[in-house]
Amino acid sequence: MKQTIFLFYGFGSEYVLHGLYKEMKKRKYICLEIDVLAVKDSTKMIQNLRGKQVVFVTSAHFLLNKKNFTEFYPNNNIFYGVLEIIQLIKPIKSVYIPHDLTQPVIDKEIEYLNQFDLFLTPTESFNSVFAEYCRTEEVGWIKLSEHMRKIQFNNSKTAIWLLSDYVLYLKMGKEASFKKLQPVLDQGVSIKFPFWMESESFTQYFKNKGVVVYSPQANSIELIMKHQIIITNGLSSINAESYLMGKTTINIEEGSHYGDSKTYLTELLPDIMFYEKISDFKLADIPILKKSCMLKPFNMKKTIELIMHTL
Amino acid sequence: MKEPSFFKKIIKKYIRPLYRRIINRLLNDLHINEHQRLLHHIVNQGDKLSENQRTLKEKVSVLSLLLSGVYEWTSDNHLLNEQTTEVLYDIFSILHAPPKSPIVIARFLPALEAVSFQNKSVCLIGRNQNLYSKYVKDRGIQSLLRIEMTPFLSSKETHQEWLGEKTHYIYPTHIASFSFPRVDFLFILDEHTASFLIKYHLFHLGAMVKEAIIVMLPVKISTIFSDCKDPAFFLDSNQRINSFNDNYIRSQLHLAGFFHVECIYSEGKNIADNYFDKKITHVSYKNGFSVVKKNQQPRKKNIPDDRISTKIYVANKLPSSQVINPHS
Repeated sequence: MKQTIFLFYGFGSEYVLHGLYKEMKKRKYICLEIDVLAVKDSTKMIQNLRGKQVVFVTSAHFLLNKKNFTEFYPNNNIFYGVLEIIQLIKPIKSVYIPHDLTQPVIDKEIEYLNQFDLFLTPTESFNSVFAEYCRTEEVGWIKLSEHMRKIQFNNSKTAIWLLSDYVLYLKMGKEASFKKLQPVLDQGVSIKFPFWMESESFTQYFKNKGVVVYSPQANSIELIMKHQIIITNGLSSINAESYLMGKTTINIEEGSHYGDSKTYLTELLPDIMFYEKISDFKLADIPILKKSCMLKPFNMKKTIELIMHTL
Repeated sequence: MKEPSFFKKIIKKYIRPLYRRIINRLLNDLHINEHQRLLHHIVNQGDKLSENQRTLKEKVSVLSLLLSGVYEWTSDNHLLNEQTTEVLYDIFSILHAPPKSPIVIARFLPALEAVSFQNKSVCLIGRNQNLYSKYVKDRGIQSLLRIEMTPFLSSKETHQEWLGEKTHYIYPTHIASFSFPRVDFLFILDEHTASFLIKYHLFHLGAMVKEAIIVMLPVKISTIFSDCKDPAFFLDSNQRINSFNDNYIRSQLHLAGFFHVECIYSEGKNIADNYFDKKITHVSYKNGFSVVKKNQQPRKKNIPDDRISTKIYVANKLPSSQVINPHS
């Protein structure tokens, strides 16, 4: 009898399956983890899986492949897109766990959702939207664990910018980026860059300028718990994460792209505060919301049961 | 300067005034100007009559559909609304066009030999799909769903047993509200039905198809051998959309959620020498679709030919393993 291999697959900061991978490995399952930005050429690893019994678990966008991903985020790594992997290894089961709480399945992707056997939704509200295309089960938000809910935040007015649309700043360069963000950072706001290429050197540069900068690999949910005001930009998942955790959520629009989805954002998260320009932001004027956390923590036991079911 | 000749002087002094006087007299006596005005008026009235005739035809189409119960009247839909009449025209084409002869159908069935239907679920949408139904059953399918768009039953879903299978009879506009189950293959091998559905990105049916859609569509021959980079459709003498270019069909199929599109059959003489039949397109997340394989360069010269060729496209949900190349 063939042994089942569990493949966990994703792209950089959009890979959110490491905790699940560790747990499955702890339970003695044969697991393979591929973060395409950490492996120079992952195509050979995928090719080796052809003809084997594979369960494919991913948090990556379905339509991103080497060609179009590189246009968004320049890099030299060689890898396959999600649909290419499904075609090549023909997994016995495919599971999608989204990395984005704001838009778990983005435009055009919904047409491909039926390629998966199971969609593990972070909140119940997405069930009705996606269940007709694919079996959908609620498992809670993968970035939020039970112990994180007990983290106490500082009583003083603390704010952090969990920066999104990082590629804009990457193209701009460190010095220009610092100048751009300085009006907010000078007000005592800390910052965290997403875990992408060069984010470590950005972190170091900003630290040298005297800014409080968190590691790109730090857990964003823990940082949201520890702060009272969360700043974000664009259509980042942070919008929904912070909002549903009851925090004051600020979205600074300058430089970011929203396509035609800004209305979606305002309808989904009506109390979110938008600032058109970075210079408009005044920390002293921001009220602090006191709402309870509406996000359910990730249910590891249920998730593993669902993945293992019918195997 | 040379003096005008005696003859020219005579013409200028006597003949020309006389000629003008005679012409004026004739124009006046024969009512020429009046006749000219009347003639213009008749021509204008002719144009107006043609326009009225076209409008009347549209009204008759709408009224026939209203009377037959196919189309429901709402205050939002004006009789002369262009979009409405376009849709109604399409519906009429689906309901009234003669079905394809079995010989024509049998001609392209060998093109489907390469596709494996073993233990797959199949849905057929079209008109009089009996031959296809028998064909896919012989190929070892697991389940079959038939959706027929024929006018002889009511507008509500009804069922009829044919060869032991359940058939859903629905009118074209009701396809969007039909509760569509997930299937491996979707066949739309009736050109009129396919032309109607393709304009509306298949009414979201693409999201329900797991493996591939096989669709028959009319393509204008003059576009086949030329570049035709932009998606385009073509109008008939009644200003209705009656055919497409290859890229229009591909773009609509990609927008309906299909990753990989290729043409597997061409009607007529151009099967062996057809650039588009050897073209494969992939959807690109950022830039729409792009050509990933072409065995033959297109002819640059546009051949003026208004004939319409029937083509069959296979649109796959997943990229083909033969063309996956992460280094490209």
